[in-house]
Amino acid sequence: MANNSEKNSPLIMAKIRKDLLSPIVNHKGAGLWMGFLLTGLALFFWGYIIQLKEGLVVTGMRDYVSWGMYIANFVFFVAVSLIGMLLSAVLGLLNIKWVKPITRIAEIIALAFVMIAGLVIIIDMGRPDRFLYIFFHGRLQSPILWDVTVITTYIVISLLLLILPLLPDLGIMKKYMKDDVPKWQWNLYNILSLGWANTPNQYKILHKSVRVLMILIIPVALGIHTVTSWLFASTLRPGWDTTIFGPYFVTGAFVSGVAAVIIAMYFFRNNYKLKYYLTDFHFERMGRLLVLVSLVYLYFNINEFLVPGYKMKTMDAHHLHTIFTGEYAWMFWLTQIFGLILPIIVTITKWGRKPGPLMITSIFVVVGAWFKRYIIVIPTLIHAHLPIQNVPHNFKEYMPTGLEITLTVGTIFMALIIITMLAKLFPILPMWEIAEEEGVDVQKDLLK
Amino acid sequence: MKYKNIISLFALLFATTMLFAQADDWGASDEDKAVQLQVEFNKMNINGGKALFNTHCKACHGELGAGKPILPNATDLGSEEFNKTHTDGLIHYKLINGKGAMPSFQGTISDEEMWKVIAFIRSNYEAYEPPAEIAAPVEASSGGGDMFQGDISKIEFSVDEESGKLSAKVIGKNAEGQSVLAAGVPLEFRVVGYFGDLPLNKDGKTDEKGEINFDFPKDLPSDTAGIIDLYAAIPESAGYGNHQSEIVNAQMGEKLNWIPPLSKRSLWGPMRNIPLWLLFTYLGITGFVWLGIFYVVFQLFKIWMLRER
Repeated sequence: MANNSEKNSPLIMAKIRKDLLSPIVNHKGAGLWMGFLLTGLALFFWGYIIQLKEGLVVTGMRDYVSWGMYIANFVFFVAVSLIGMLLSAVLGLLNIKWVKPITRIAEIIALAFVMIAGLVIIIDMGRPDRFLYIFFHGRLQSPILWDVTVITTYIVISLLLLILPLLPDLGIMKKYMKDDVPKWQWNLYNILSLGWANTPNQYKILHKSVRVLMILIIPVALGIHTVTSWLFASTLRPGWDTTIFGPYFVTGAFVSGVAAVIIAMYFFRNNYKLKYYLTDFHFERMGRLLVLVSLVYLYFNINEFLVPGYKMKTMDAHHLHTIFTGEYAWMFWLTQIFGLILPIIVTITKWGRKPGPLMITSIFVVVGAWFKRYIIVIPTLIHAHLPIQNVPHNFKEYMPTGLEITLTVGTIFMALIIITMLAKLFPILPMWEIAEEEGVDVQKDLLK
Repeated sequence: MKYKNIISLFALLFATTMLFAQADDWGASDEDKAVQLQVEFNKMNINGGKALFNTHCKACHGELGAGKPILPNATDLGSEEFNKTHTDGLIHYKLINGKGAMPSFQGTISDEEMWKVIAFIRSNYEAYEPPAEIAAPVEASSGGGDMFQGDISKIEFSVDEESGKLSAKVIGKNAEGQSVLAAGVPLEFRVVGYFGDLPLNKDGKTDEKGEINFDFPKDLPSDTAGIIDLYAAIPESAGYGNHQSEIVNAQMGEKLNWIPPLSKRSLWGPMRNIPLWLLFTYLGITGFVWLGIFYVVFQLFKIWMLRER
C-alpha cells in the first residue's frame, strides 16, 4: 500500500493541483459574478453617502428603536463567523478526518463575516468620525469595549488560522503557477509563502502553531458571541434580561454557521467542479452536524421562551405577547418553524442530507437565522423602558427604510466579495492536507 | 332572540338611568345644603382661596370659567350652571366627603381654607350674594389676636446660629398707608430644598409686636459644608399674596457626610474608577490570548528564517 501510494504520489499530486488550482486560472463566469457584486457595492456606497450627509434620520430608527436592522445584521454576521471555530478548531482538535477539506471554506467565511461585522457597527454610527472615541473615552466597565476587543482578537486569530495552513499550498503555487498567473499575483504568493521550503522543521513549527491557534480560538470565539449577547443581556429590558443569552447566542450561531458553510460547499462543489473532494459523504456529515446544533438551539429556544412565557411577568408579558400573538408573531413563528423545526425534521431523513435538499434547507436556516436576530433586537425596543408622555408616533413603531435595507444587503454583498476574492486567489480546499489523506508523504513529495 | 335583545336594551337603559341618578346624588342633607359661607367674603379670603384653588383644584377642574376642565368628568367650577345649582353648604359638603374621582379634602386643608376656596369660587360668579352676617365663623387657627388687614411690605428674618433661634418680624401698611407691625399674620419658616422647600413650623402667627420665634430642630441635615438655607414666608393661602424674606445661609444643623457614588470603584463610574477585579480579569484574559497570538507570529518569523536561500 505504502509502496503503491509512493509510486502514485506524483500522479495524485498532479491531479490535486489540476483540480484545485484551475479555478484560480479559469475565470469563466467570474467576471459576471463579480460585476453583480460590485454593482451591489456601488449601490451601497451611494446609499451610505446619503446617510452620511443626512444622518441616521434616513433610517427607520428613532428614540425608542435605536438599534434597528443594522444591529440585527451585526449579530447575524458575528453569529455566522463562529463557524470557523467549530469546524476547524473543535472538530480539528477531535481529529475528525472528514472535516479537513471543509476547514478552509469555514475559515474564509469566518474571516469575511467577522470583518464585515466590525464594519456594520460603523455603518450604524451617525457620526463615524467619532469611532476612535471608543479608545479615547471608552470605559472598560462597558461590554461594548469588551466586544471591540474580542472582535479584533478574533479577526487576527482567524486571519492567522487561514494563513498558516495555507503556507504549504502557497509553496506549491509559488513553484507551479509562475507562468499561469500575472506577475503581481505570483509575487503575492511568493511573499505570503514566507519562503516555504517544505522542510521537516517548517512542518514541525506549522503543526505546533496551528495547534496553539486552534486552542486559542475556542475561548475567543465563545467570547465574541457571548460578549455580543451581553450587549443585550447586561440591560434590564424584557426579552434581553435573561441569564441564558450567552449560550443561546452561541448555539444559534453554530446553526447559522453550519448552514452557511453547507451553502458555500454546494456552490464550490458545482462551480469549481470539486465533486471528487466534497463528496455526498461530506454533505451527509454536515447534515448530521446541522441536526445536532439545531436540536441544541431548539432546546435553548424552548427555555428562552417557555419559562418566561409560563410566568408572564408584567413587563415580560408586553414583550412576549408582541412576538407570540402580536405585531411580530408572523416573523417569530415563521423563523421558528421554517428556520428551525422543519429543517430539523427534513434533515433527520437520509434524503434530507443529500447535497441538493440540504443546500435548500440551509438557505431556509440562514434566512431564518437573520430574521431571528431581527426578532431578538427590535421588539424589545418598541416598548419603552420608562414611560414618556406625548411621544411622537414614529417612536412607537419601527419599519426599516429602503435605504437601510439597501445598506444591509450591501454588507452581505461585501462579505460575498471578500469570500469570492479569497476563493479566487487561493485554493478553496487545503491541497496538502487532502494529499496527506490520500497517502502522499507531503514532506517528501509535495514540491516534487 | 328578539326578546333577548329587547330585554338587554331595557336592562341597559335601566342601568344607565341608575348611573346618572347616582352621579348627582352626593348624599348631602338639606341641613348640609343650608349652611352659608363661614368666612368673610373679602379680598384677602378670596386671594387665599385662589392660592388654595390653584394648588388643589385646578389640576382637574381647570381655570374658573374657562369651560375646559382637565379631567373630562370634572365640572368647570366657574360655570353659571354650577354656581346656580350649588349652595355654599353643598360645595363645602362635597369638599369634605368627595365622591368617585373627586377626593375628600378633609385633613388635606383646614375647614377655614375650604371656605376660602368657596369664597374664591363665588368671587367669579356675579350673581352671588354673600351672607349679610357670618352665622358661625370658623375657628381661626391658633395664634395671637386678630388678623392684620392691609398690605404686607416686608418680612425681617434673622437667625441666631448659636442658640438655633429663628425669628421674623412682619411689617405692613395699614389702610392709612402707615407702616405698622402686622399682628396675627400666618408665617412659616422654611428650608430651601432641591425639590420644593420644607416648612419647619405649622399654624404659626405673628404676635401683637408682629414677631414670631421658632427653635430650629438641631438634627436637621445641612449640606456637606454644614450650611442650611432658610427663609420666612407668608403662605399664599393666607390671602396677602406672595411674600417672603431674604434667604439666610446659616451654619446650622447636622453636617451631611456624603460620599459621592462616583468616587468609589464601581461598574457605573468613570474608567479611572474601574473595579480592580474587572481590570485584572480583562487584562489577564486579553494579555494571555495576545501572548498566544504573538507566539504564533514569532513562529511565522521562524518559518521564514528556514526559507530556501
